[in-house]
Amino acid sequence: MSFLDLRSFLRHLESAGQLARVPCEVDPNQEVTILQHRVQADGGPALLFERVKGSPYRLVTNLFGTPARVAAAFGRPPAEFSQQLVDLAGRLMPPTLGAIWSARRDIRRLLRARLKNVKTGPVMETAFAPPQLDRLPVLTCWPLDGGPFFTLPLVHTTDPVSGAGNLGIYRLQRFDADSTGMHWQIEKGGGFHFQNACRLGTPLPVSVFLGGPPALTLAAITPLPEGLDERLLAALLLGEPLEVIPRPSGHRIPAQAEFVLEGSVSPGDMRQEGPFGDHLGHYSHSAPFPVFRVERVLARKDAIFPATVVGKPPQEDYYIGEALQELTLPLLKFTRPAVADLWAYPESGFHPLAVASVRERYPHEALKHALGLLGEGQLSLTKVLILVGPDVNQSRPLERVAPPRPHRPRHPRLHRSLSQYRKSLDPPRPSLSSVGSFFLSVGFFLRSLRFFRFFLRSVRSFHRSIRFFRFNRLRFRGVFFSSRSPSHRPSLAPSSRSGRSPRHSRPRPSGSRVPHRPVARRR
Amino acid sequence: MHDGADRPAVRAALAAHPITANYLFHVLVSADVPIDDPRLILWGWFTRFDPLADLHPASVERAGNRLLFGFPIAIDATWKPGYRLPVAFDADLERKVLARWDRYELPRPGAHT
Repeated sequence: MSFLDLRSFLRHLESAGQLARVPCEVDPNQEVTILQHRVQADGGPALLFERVKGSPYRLVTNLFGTPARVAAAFGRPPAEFSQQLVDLAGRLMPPTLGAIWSARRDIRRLLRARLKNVKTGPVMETAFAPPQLDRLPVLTCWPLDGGPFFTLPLVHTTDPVSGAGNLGIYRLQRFDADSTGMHWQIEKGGGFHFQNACRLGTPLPVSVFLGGPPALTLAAITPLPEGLDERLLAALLLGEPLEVIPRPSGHRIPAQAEFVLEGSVSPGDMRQEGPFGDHLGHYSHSAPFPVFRVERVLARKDAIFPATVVGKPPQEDYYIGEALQELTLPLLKFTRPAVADLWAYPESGFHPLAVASVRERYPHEALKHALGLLGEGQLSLTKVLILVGPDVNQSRPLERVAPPRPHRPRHPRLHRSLSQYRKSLDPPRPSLSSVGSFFLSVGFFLRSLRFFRFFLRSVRSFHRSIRFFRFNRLRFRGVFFSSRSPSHRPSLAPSSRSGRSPRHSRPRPSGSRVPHRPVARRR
Repeated sequence: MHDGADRPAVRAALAAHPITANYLFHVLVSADVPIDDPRLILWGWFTRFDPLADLHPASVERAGNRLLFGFPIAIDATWKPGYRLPVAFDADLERKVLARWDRYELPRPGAHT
């Protein structure tokens, strides 16, 4: 089942008991964040806020807060979708008439992955110029954020040199009624287009979509190769051409969007943007970023404003990122058959930690693939890449680990890379420059339980405040230590109780509680 | 580690202890990281260290143009001055939101398990 706009998706969610309406007035300044955080932690429904302080529009959040809702937005399990593409490529090699005929249904679906011009659509029902951005229910998520931020804006640009289109999600800080920041990071298509515009000395037209088919949002987040228009992926996910309206800027905007912001970003027009509590669970520093000068806002008559909240994992992006990995893994394995699995841990915010399971058919083949992966798109932002053998179940969930094999080397090989450019959201980043990364190949290790118990008794005797946790999930021979003074209360200690027995839930530093998921720990 | 802890001393103590010296990695994390939470331990570790600056191997040898690190390797993944602050709710606002939870007509927190 595919959803051609946000409303049809919301109707589906409501019929499935996955949408809750909040009738009372809520404040977009942090109150919505707390609500979404609590509901999302419980695996709760999407939230439709009927009344938002200071805005005539409704607000929807937590759209993708469970794996089931993400799969519904995709129309089918993400891995199944990309595996079908890989299988099709295999069936069409060589492309004989017989092979093409047998794959005709899949080919027909591929041919529908295009943009279809229409003269008008619901997004053209109202227009505001000047744009009046202050009427939109933009969230201020965290106390130290620099202001309200658009958190689900689909930013569309076209390359001023080649004309290729790009769609990406870059946060926009609302500065005033007609301007926002434009936070395009390195390795982002919009940033490359702006770089070309700067070289040419011309403003870059920008169109920001809000809402529309949920597949459009997921496509915008998908790390496609540079030069591929994510709107085509959305059409492929929909199984239908994406209806678009040609605009004077040269852009084609989705006819079924809830809002479209039209404007431009000009070379040299910069402003301090941030801080912002981001998906790594820390505030990004304030820094100068380009300014998006909005000329007009197009909107449906009763438009619904979509938003999300990011922060310490897991948040809504946890499940989106998991689904995107499921989507891209079959394609990766098609191009790199030696890679058995690749997983970037949502628990770490994705970029900081990834594990690749590689079949090493000759010495150092795994190292070769590691270097190749670290050069691929957003994988180049990986801080730590761990290489394991193909029989290690290193991911999903963390508890599953394959038994050790005695012939594996007992000591890992640690390879430090040269310093490389790191995403500016990474907390240790000293400036917009380089931070190191390293990758590690590990074998298998056994833990001695008796050894560890003895260790606890002996070491605690000299430092009572040290707490220990033995991290066994990735078969590391490493131990975590957290030293805590007796009187210390962490600033993020739980501040409220759910009323449930501690046995059934555990506190989270933010104060909410999450259901207890028993983690098998050897004692 | 709590603020002000002598990290080099802790690293040295761990490297010298006859039991901990057998572990390949010693990871120091800040006190706000709940080390019994398998999700947040990954968060607290991997978002807070710089491989160029925060790896402390027991020994470093040079072989040709390669550096070889000796184990155990201490990873200082504590929050350091100049790092970005972790996000947290305003405690007063959070209390107010929980106090008026019924008006939202949402299940109580902890109900969806």
